[in-house]
Amino acid sequence: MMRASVERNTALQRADNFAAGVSAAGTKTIQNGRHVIEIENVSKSFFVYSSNGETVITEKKRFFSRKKPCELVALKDVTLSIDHGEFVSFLGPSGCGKSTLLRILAGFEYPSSGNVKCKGECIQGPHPQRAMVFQSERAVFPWLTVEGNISLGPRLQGTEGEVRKERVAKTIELIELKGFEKAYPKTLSGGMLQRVAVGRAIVNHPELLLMDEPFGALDAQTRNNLQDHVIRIWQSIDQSIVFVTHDIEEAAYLSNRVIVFTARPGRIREVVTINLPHPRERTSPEFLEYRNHLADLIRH
Amino acid sequence: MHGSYFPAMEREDIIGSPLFIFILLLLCVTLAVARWLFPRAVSPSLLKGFLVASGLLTVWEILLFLKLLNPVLLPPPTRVFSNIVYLWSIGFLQPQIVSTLFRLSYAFVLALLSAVTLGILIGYFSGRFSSLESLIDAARLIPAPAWLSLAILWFGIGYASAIFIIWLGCFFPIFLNTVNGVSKAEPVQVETVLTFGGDKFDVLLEVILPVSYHHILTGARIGLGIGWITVITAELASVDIGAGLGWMIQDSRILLDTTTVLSGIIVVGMLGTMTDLLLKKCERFVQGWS
Ligand SMILES: Nc1ncnc2c1ncn2[C@@H]1O[C@H](COP(=O)(O)OP(=O)(O)OP(=O)(O)O)[C@@H](O)[C@H]1O
Ligand SMILES: [Mg+2]
Repeated sequence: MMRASVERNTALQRADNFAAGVSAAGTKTIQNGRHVIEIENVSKSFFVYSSNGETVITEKKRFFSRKKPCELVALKDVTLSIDHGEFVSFLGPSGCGKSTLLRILAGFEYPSSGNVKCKGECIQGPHPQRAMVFQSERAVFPWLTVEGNISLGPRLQGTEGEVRKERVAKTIELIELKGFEKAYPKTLSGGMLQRVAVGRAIVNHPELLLMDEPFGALDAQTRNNLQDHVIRIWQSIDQSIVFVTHDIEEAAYLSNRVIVFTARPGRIREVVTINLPHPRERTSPEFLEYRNHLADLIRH
Repeated sequence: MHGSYFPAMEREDIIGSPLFIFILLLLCVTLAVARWLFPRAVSPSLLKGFLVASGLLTVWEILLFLKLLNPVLLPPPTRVFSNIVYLWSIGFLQPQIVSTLFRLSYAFVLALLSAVTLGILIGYFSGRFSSLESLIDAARLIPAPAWLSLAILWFGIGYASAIFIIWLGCFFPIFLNTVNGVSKAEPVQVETVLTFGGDKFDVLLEVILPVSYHHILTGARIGLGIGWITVITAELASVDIGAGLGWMIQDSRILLDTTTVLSGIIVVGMLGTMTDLLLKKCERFVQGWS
């Protein structure tokens, strides 16, 4: 009940405040009420078996186990919808199920109960319209060049010759890696690799970009640069982004809405709408206010 | 049948000892100069290897020239060299080489196909096959020639038996390396292909094969080495009589023709090195690693 009203309130708030957001984003239009993603009462649990000092966490109950498993609830009753063009962040303490929810959106995992819909249809496995940017640097294939990595999506989609070339070239321009087309990942820096990962995800113009702590392993300076990068990309193309982070400032700096989760089991604690135009000033009093509010939410 | 083919044991040597040593020296100097002039074309390891080999050959030649060793037990390099040229010129060596290489490559290609296919399947679904592991380990530790007698009973004396045990010798290194290579594909790489709209087959092409390529190649090189051991063993044991370098070595031993025995050994060594180099060249096909 409580959560539902929070949802509705924030939706109203967004409706009120949208004029500002849209004008700030320039060409970016966030279409209120046109949901890309609807998450209804999603829960997800794992089963923990411990025996002989070994702990195994599995997704499915084991049929032939004598031991009774103890249930690990990663997500509990999460209800949320994401509008077309929105930038949403998941913020919460470690282990609260942010990645799990993102993987459910990507289609790699399924909720134990509840529904997840993408444009009105239940999610059944991965789909190119929902592209994922992984945190791990190893997700960028070391046996392909930058160009090869970025053209992976179009290649798998069967996009042909000229169109593919053009798209790849445009994407490389967008992530500012011109001149590095033929470079292998081992010769790139961590920040450049992460840009390749982003480029690889946006080249197919997916409806939804899912990013799991993409800048978690980078130094502060590079991370700030890449954040501006992501904002630019988000403003220049017509898609929504779901961004997982445990960095409060990052969440406040990037998103339209921050979904704050509680510690395990992960529930939505509060949805905070950040009503600041981009580019945001990290030192402005409004920004700090949002940041402190988020920090308070996390701390308790 | 043998006598008619085989040359007499006392043959004219093409070159004498002094000339032989002189030529070796000349080659060494030429190579050194070539390295100095074109450092790119001649690698230092090639030069060093050639120098060491020339030194050993010279010592061996001199020992026999001074009659310090019995030439019936250890013929000098000049004679072995002349013999190889002679056997080639009368067209005796070529069929042996062809038949050994044919047996080996036949079995090796079979082993490569079966081991890689099976390795990828089992590596892909590794969790479900873990019970097979100890069985595979036990089978792996049995040297292929141990199957010889059984192979002869199953397939009779001839081609099939030889192919069978050579295949067996090549199989396990390739198979185990493939399984290991497939396990090096990370979930995040597999999921990358899936999230961009690929299916399981794309995962195989885009991730599993590139990741395991080098492991498969390493396995293939080890497998080929064992393949050489097995093919020569099979021929020595006359699994498939009448042709092959191993058979030539064995048959000459019976006739106390140590020159031809050594010729066979050296030809096997050269062919082995060449086939290994060929596989090594394949490493270039997938770049971007390490
Ligand atoms: N594949 C899985 N198998 C078993 N348990 C899992 C699996 N994935 C997640 N879990 C469990 O679910 C819980 C939530 O994990 P999740 O990775 O979603 O956390 P998170 O919020 O992303 O944390 P972090 O910020 O540290 O990345 C953890 O307790 C974890 O043990
Ligand atoms: Mg996580």
